[in-house]
Amino acid sequence: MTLFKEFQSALKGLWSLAVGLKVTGREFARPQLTVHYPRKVVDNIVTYRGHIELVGKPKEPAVPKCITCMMCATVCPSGCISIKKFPPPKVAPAAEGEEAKPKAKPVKTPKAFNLNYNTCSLCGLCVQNCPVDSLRFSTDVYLAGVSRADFEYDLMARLAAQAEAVAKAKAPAEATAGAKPGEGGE
Amino acid sequence: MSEIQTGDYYTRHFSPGPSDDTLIINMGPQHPSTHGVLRIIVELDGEYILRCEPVLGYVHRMHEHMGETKSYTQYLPNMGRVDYLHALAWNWAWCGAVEKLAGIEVPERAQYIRVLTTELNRISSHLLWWGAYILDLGAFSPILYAFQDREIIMDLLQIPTGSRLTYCYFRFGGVSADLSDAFLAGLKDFVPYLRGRLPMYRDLVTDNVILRKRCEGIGHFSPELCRRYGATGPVARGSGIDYDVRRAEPYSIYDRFDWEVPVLEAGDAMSRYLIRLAEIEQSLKIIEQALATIPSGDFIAKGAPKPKWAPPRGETYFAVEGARGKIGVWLVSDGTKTPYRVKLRAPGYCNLSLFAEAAQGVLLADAVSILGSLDLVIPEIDR
Amino acid sequence: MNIATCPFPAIAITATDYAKCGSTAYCYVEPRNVVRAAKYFFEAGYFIEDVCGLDLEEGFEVVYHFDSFTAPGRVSLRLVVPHDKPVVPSIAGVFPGAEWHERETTDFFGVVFEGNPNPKPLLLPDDMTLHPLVKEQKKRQPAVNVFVVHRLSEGKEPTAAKKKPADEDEEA
Repeated sequence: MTLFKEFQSALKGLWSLAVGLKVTGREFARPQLTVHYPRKVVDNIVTYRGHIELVGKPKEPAVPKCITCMMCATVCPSGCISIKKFPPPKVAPAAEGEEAKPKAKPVKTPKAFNLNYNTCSLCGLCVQNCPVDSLRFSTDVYLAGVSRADFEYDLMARLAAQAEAVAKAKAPAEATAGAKPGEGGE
Repeated sequence: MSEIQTGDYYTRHFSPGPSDDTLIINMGPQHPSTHGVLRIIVELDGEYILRCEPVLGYVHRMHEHMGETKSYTQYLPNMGRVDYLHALAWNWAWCGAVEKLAGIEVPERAQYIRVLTTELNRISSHLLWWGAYILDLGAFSPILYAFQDREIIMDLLQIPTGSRLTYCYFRFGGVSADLSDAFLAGLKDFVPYLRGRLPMYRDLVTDNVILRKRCEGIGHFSPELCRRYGATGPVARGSGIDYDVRRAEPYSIYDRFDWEVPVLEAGDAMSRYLIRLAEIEQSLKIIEQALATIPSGDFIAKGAPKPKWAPPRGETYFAVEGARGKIGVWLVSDGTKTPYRVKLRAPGYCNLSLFAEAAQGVLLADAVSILGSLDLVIPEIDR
Repeated sequence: MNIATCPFPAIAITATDYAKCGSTAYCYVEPRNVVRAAKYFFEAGYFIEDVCGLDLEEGFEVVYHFDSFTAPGRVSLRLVVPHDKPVVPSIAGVFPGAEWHERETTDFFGVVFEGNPNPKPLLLPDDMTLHPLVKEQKKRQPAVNVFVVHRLSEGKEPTAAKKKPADEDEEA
């Protein structure tokens, strides 16, 4: 009787082995799910919210919408944002009841906007609380560096570089667009 | 503590036991089965455990003190770091406590969003536990299947939250971003997909003879033991205690959905294993119903607190059901912008505290199985 | 539960609004009676949720949260010990789960739990003398400033108790 039971349990073990191998075999035949980084990268990082970057004005892409209200720097739990304001203008401020004059605008844009990404915890409170939507998340995810200084970003310079890149990308496109009728004429 | 300390931790604190020929073993802090930096000093007689004592504090970050130095809003990202596997439940615990204290109403849609994302996060937490537990017991491949499915959840949760692990998604009075159609469509596809995968999990692992032998009858916790140590979550439910915070102290809209609290009487590692797999199914059930009935509307309350806001003075205790058990936040406010006291009740802390008693007299290899079945997340235990 | 029928010596028992403060009752005891109170909660089928400390002007308040698996309704058992002699009897003999919570409170506040079977630092390093949650004297608040007792009075809807903090804490 015990021998029979031993035999039965051995058979049971063999059966569960066979079931397991069946699953393994089935999955083995499926196409590969992982990608060969860095030759290939995944395609879903568009929804990833990386470190913040400044948003430029629609007409002047190199100038941030930021009005240096300091909300982002105040709300940041780890104090990673540091903003430098331009010194206040010497002219007297507008009288009460008057709308803010357009000449106050250059004073509002920041002189420097730095992010220390080392201490950022990606909570998104700064972006959420920006009153003029001057901050957005980048999708920079493949980051590596050898020193802390590599992750201290000058966001003003970053915005300027982005604006320049956009302008450059536009310019050849316009050039080719302009050349096309000429080509057709030949 | 002013006297000069000599010797190591063992000689200072773990005095020699009843017999001289026992063997002291350090499990951890770097041991694959402790899932982080947990150290357990084990006193063995042969292969049997005479005594053991967990040593904590290797990833202690004093979150409770951070709560007293930051504003209410600034404390939000800390929550994702307490328990990184079920970050949204901790998000909810903190936001819920503040909302309860200040009487902030959460819009209907935000309630649904919270349920959807938290349950999805619970599934991902259980999947990771499942893979890691089987890994503890010596089978390597199941964690790859678990991660394959968990990857889909992380991709989905990345859409509204923007991150993949340490979510900081909830805000006082709602959530930080609305659910997109891509998320809702992806979730709709995910529910039947995972349902289809669960039989494979059962065939590959649950019915496997080796797993059964490593889990069945191992680490028996009586309901009385759970009560004395305050164990909650799947650990208590695996011991026949029908207790789920979502049911017992109803919060949000869980009472609108038709779902069950899985309870098993056996109290061994296998029943805790089966409870978690059953909870995946129940979470899918909740998600399915919430998806079908999610209303349109605001994702954050109109009068949601601004960053420099201060709640009224007073105190409150708010509990939610995390993947590991009852998450509690005791909040005392003196009416200023920073909390006066924040107490975080971590379920893993209470669940682990019964280990020393439960592991007495078991084989060392079984202790690994018991430890794994507790589903420990060390940052949550150490806080 | 009220003060007259309370099976252990209590200073004050206040039924509170669960919807507002998360507890159904606050129950103040003398430190020396805490073990008797814990025994009562143990026999009544409660489980221990946590033991918390709180640094107030009056002293360290130690709060024990008990909850029940079967009939929900958190009870918070409270006591106050002076800053210069923070000694409380340990309830680890009744609820062994309290051992870790008490050690944690000792770590954070320096409150000594007499009779704890394993009274050594748990979360903080062995040689640490600082208790991080002890507040500076000027930052300490009196109990009146932090406690608003949401009393549950007869005939009034619990949620309607959103008026001014008229009811102050007895202990203050």
